[in-house]
Amino acid sequence: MKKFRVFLTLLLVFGLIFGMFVGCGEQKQEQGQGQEQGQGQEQSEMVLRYNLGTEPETLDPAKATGVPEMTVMLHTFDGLTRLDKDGKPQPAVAESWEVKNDGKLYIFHLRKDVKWSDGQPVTAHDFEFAWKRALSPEIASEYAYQLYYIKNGEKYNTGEITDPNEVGVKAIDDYTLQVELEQPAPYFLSLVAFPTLYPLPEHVLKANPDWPKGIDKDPNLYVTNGPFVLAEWSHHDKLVLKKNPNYFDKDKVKLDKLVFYMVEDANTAVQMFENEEVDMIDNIPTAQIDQWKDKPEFHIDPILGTYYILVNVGSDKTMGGEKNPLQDVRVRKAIAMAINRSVITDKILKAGQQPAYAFVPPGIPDAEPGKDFRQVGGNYFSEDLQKAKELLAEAGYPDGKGFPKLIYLYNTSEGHKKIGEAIQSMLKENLGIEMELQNQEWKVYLQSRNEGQFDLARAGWLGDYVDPMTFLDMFVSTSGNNDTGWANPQYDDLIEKAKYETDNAKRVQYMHEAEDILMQDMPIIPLYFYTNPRLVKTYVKNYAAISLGWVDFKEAYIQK
Amino acid sequence: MGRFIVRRLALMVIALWVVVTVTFFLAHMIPGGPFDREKPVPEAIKKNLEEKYHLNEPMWKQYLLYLNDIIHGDLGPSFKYPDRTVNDIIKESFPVSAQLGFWAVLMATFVGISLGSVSALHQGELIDSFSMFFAILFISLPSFVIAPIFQYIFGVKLHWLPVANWGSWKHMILPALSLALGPTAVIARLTRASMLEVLSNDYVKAARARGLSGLRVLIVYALKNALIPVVTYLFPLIAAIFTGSFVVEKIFNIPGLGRYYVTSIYNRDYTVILGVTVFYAAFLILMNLLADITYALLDPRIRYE
Amino acid sequence: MDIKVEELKDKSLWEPIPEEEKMGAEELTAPQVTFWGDVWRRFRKNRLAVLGLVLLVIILLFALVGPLVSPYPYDKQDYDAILQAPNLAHPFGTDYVGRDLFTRVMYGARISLAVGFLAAMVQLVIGVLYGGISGFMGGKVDEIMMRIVDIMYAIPILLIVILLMVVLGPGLVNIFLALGFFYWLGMARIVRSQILTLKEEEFVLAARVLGASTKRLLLRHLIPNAMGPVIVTVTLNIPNAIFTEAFLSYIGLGVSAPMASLGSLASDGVEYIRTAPWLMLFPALAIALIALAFNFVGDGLRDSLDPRLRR
Repeated sequence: MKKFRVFLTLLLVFGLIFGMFVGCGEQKQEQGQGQEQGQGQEQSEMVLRYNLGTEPETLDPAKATGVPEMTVMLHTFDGLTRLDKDGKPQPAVAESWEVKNDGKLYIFHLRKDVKWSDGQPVTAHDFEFAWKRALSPEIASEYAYQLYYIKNGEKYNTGEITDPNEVGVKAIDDYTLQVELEQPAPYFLSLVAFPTLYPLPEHVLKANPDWPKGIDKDPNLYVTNGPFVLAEWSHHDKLVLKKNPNYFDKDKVKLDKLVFYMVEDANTAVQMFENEEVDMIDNIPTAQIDQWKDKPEFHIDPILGTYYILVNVGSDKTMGGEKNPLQDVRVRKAIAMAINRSVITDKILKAGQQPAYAFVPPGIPDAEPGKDFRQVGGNYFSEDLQKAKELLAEAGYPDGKGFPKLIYLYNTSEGHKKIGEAIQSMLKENLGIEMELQNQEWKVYLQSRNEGQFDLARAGWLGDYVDPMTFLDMFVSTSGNNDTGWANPQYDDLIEKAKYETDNAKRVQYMHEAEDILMQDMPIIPLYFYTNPRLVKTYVKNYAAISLGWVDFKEAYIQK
Repeated sequence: MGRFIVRRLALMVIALWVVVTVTFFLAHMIPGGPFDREKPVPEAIKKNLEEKYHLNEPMWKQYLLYLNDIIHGDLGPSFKYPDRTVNDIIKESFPVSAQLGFWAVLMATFVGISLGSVSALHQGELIDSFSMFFAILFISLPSFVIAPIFQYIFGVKLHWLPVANWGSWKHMILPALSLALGPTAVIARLTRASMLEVLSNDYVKAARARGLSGLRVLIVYALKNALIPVVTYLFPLIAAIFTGSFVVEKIFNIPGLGRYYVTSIYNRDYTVILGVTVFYAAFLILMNLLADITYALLDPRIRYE
Repeated sequence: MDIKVEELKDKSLWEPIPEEEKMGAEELTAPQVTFWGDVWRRFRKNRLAVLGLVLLVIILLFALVGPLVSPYPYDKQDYDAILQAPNLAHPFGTDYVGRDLFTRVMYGARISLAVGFLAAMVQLVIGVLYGGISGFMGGKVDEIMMRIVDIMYAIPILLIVILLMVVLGPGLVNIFLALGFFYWLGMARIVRSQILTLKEEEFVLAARVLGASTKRLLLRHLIPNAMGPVIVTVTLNIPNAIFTEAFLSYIGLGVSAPMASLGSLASDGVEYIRTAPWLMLFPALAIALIALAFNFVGDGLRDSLDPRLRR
């Protein structure tokens, strides 16, 4: 009994200690919590709450790779240019520029009134420093290749050159930046709006070489030049930005605070929206779309993306060991024509997606102003069950007889599973083709795709910038993104020509011709073009939905 | 007892070493690495990354490097979150999970044991059947089903509690409840089953025959021995709940340690995988040691040679 | 009367019984019962237990025979009948591609029953034996065996599962392998803790004194007495096993779409809980019924096995 009493006392002490834990924990959070209860409560502060959807991996512009990171940095930084809501670059830190040498030389003239959040002026040296840093092998930036357009950028990154001074970016003086390119890049002005090409406060980084380590503990360390500055970063919880009093364009900024939540569960996000805990969310679960479709909060924002099926053309054998029927273009076309896309988009996904009969999505301007690349290019095929059956028979598999079982690969996700199931059912019903669905964990799936361990694989591509090239250069035979095994020298040639062509009309024409070839050979089967459905409270105004998937709140405001 | 504890701690170090080794090699054996993305990085960049993180060295060398770090208490930087170290990650997220876990375990233990004991004492009566049905119900509805239901009822519909996130006592209620329901049911059933055994023992019958009241009999005689299976279940449960539940933390967006278990594997974030695994292993083994000590306290006949 | 032992040894005081009377004297007064015969007899008498067994049989029939009788294949998609509430044509409603839920639940029950059964077997055979031996042996053997359990507990199961998926591919057998690998750990610990306390009981001491072998002690005395918490644990783990299988299938190890188990049906249905609650309700109900049935049977079994409740 005595031992028992000892034990009980130990338990009580344990309990008390934890009790204190609880008490302290609460205190700390309570202080931070009180401020963002809602908008316009105390001190009539204008606060916008957005669900970022996941924790940003890093807030170092040189190392960021994903949309969440870029969204945060979009609000804390300004590059030479800034994309407007149509995805067009507008002057930001650079107030004007000159393009020389057939597009191989750019001279940027910077504004003189742009300051860092600590009051120091932003100079051309900050850009030179940041770009060279992003290219340095030690930083090992994953997006360094975006700077390969710059002369010697790639060579410096791979270590072929060790002197950063040979890289083609130079601060001529405090407010003039000179950039030499390897080849003309028509969308270079868009590229400089990208985080990888943001300036960095050289004076801060020299003093803190580990930057941005530690900004979660000391947000003031995150010295930036954009409309907002970092106020608080609570990992996997929320990130708070507040208006930057030193911002050169601060009159356009109406919000006092931006709260970015990191709720990964889509259902929870919707519930938060319903419970007035958040003002804007992306990523509505398909099960809930019907409820919101007709409400004013439902927005379908544009996004450049295509969902398609990768076909393994490179393998002679299927995964099951039989002769690969997918090497015959008639089979590929038959499959493409036998899939009922509107069932998928209207009945399963329901977020306004458009069936795709080509690869490059709408939303990209063509050569002539006002015209859209997709509009000009048109559709390359249509769903025609009769024709599909004929093609299949021609290829030697009437009604699917003798057709080997195909493996359809997808990565773990509710959405991909549903689409896979639908396609499986359609191919079976319409063509008599048997398909087995294989679900793999994300990285295993990537590896399988890379190694050609599939017959058909689900895939999606989002544009990096607003130009058809971001979609088309993927299928060049030497591209690491080309998992199909398809190689067409004419295609490669056209893409190469387009890359070097300075006449925009000619360039666009080359790209149309390239897409013609892509769609004639069909190593990929397009399914639909992405949309970005969002739920936005009606009092949120003037946000910019950029078709690259980001949202820009610089000029947004709340109107109750 | 003292020697016993020392021996157990020594064994714990060996066990931890085995866990680290097995996990290390398993993690590196599965395909995919931390820098595999849908848009594959060019070779040159991949090379830079691999050099920076020693991923291009032979496996045994990476292993020894890692062991060396871990012995010095350095769990390394995260691959996925390059500006954070694993030590920081655990330091910041564990207290959150532990707080949540504490309340969940407290709830489950008290409600579970009470419910189980009452059911055992009134075997076959209405309250017994009632509690059994509830237990089955809660076991059959896992946390990822119950949590959204709670969120809907108490958040969206009644507006009593916030739907998610962390920061005040209000934010703790729904996740703690979601965490506690399953274990409550298990503890209740375990207590009941083993209580029934104990109650039919001769010495209990004797006590009752002597005229001692039910409650006294319960607490003084029956409970101690009946609790042994409950203790067996409870201590590892503490280790598991305190280190966080992936499902509950994801649904309620709680910045705890639990999410890292699954996401680190998904991301192939080797250092985080190993860091959280070792942390959990140490906690677990410690809990089991406490369990064994508790057995000896509950039943003085138990001996550890 | 004072009888001295030596006197009893005097053979002249003893007279053999005549033949005729012998037969009758050796007749047993009650019918002969084997151990398991007795268990079954007691089980039969327990109404709830029998109910549980009947329920199990019904579910089994539902799962095995149902699919043969259903007018819908489990994977037939009907785009005009998407997300229909339960009605005459579809008693359980339809799902997001118009498949009949009733049929899918029947198919799902097959897989979940198999999984539940396997999980129970793994726990009962491997878990009980391992824990029994560990607890009984005690000392260093026990410490090492339990540390092995700890180690296996701590190693992230997801890693092993992904590895299995890569090496073996999807399939039901692989789920069995994955489950069999770690599902017995908790049971081993429970049994071991029970044995630790039971082996100090007097009846064990008595059996030892009578010369019972280790095997007999374990199998005939210790383990049957530890059955209470064992059975509770097994039955409570059935839904757990079903959802673990759902999780494994979700990440790619296990049944591939469009085949579904009750667990995966329930998981898929969670997303529709407000718009089409039947998608989650019926599979969850089925799981609860299976758990209930196992629970009744389990309770009944424990009561039947408990020597002290013998009537």
